[in-house]
Amino acid sequence: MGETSAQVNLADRVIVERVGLRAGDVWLFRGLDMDVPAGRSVALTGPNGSGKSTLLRCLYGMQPPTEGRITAFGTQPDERSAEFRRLVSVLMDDSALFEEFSPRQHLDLLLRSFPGATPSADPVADWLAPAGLDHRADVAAGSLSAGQRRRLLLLGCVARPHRLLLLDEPERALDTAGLDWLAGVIRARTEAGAAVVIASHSERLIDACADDEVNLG
Amino acid sequence: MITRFGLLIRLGRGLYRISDAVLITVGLAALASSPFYHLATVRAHLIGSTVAPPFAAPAVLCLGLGLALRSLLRRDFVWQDPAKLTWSDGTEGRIGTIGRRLWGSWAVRFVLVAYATAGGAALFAGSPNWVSAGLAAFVAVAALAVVAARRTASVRIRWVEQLASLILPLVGSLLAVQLLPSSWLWGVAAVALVSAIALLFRSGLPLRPAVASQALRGELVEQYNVRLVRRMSVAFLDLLSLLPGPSTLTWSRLFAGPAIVLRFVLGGVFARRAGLLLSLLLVWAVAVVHLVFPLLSTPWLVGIAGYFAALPFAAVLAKLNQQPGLRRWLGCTDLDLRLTTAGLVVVVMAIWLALVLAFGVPADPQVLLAALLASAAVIRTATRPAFDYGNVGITTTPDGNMVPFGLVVQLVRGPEVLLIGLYVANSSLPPNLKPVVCLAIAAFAFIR
Repeated sequence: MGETSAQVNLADRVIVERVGLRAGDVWLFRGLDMDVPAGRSVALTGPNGSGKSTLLRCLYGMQPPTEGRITAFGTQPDERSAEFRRLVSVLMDDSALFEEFSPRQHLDLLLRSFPGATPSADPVADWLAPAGLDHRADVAAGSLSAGQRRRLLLLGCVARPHRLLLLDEPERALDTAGLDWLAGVIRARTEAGAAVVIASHSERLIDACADDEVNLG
Repeated sequence: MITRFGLLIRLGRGLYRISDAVLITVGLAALASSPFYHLATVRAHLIGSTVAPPFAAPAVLCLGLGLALRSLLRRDFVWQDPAKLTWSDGTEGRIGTIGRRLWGSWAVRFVLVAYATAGGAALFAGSPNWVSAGLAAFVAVAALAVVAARRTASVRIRWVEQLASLILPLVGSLLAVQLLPSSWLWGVAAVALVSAIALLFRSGLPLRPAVASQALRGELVEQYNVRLVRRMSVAFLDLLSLLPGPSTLTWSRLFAGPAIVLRFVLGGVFARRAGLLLSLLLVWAVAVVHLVFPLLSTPWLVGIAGYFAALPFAAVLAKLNQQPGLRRWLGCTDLDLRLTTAGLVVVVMAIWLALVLAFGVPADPQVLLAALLASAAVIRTATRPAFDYGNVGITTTPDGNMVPFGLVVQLVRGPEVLLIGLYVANSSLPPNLKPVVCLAIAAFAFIR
């Protein structure tokens, strides 16, 4: 995060410049600067209501910041654009599963519909087993436990091609083993060259996988 | 201790409630009996000078019995408010409540069937030979419905029940086209009665049905939630939320192959296979209604029924448009998804229309246009974004009424194409121009 603007290559990073967010009459924060280059992960921390999820929505282009500017890979985030959506993988409050489809069917759907994804001949061994979901591979998602649903949603984010990964409180409903698995997955994504932004309350997760921390409190 | 004043207040409230109920009952009775006092007018509008088929009334009876049986066997009376389960389940037994609800649901459905059949009999004034057989069929099917609905049923048995309930409208449509004699109603009565007697075993006591005594809390709450969503959907006339929910897909490698978008859309259809029965039911309903009410416009009938028949086939597209979190599982473009679903809906509509035509509905160009418009309206409905309740757009009309114009605009997306198109297809425009305008309307709906 220490490069000067002259050295910065806009095409491989997410840049937040003097961003402010207001909820009603109250400013959540103002003047936020953040630079997340490819291959780095940043954790957003702060108490409830400090604007972590709202900032993630701005990074995904679901809403504009009240003031300031955000660019992701040289463009303004816009969730309505299919091209932009293909660059960014997100886990947010509205992330959902097809209740009638099994984890195996979800992964088949994902890996065969995203351009650039590598369809897996055995999604159970490649993806579900490391996430601890192999024994539930053919059960309808509607009957998975909260933690298992969370793991499947996280797999949905990381299994498809992306350059930016946005995760809103990914630790929710995960047990200790799940947290360790998640930290490993995030590290693997940064090592593969993705920029990662996580909003989290879990110190264990932040310590395990975040390169930088931005406290919005 | 209740004071005299408190007693008076209670009495007043009771009388107020009774007077409300009496007023509503009298109003409904007046409305329901009105057609019987104006038979000539109703006949002139629906039948005209044509002669109705001799078994029009029994056909209406069979259609009504099939719908009532199918509807009761969904067992959507098995619900309980979670708040009551938590706070007052000890004072009022849930089994008794559900038992009374079952009898009420049953009575309402079969009173409506009796009313429709009586209306049909008065209207068509055909041969009275079917009356005793029809009465026997009515009693036997009503008995079967209440006995079967009292039992618990696995998913497989529910499928058998739903399929069996389709036999009645099929018999009705075959009676209407005179491929079956009315004596078949005796056969229906006999089969229904024997089935009812066989199913009586282990169905529980009159007010303590087995389906209620064996229902678990989770099932009661789930049904309560389904009912809540349905009531909200009815209140806002949101058709998409009224569609049957998805069931599990057992074909584990359904999406492991090429043409993933087509596979996904087909998967959505398979998961909503319960809706296919509704499509089939509508084939026979259209056949019966067309035969017994020949003056009803056939394109309007086919267009509206076709719209409802094809809507379940686009339900998965609708779900993606209403839940952005689900859309993220698919990397294809919106256009790919829309065109694939449209192709499937058009194919389904062609098959549905072929079945309708096989029952004697004339295949004139307006009917074909109506089917195409229905397909287009289905796609436009399915691509409607989730309701934006922040955009209610309350507007005051010149006569002082408040209308949620914003909600109405969102709501009519889809059906408006069908209604405008059908109006054009039945208008006095030059015959060469009608298909062009209708095709343009359909193309607009498919693309926008």
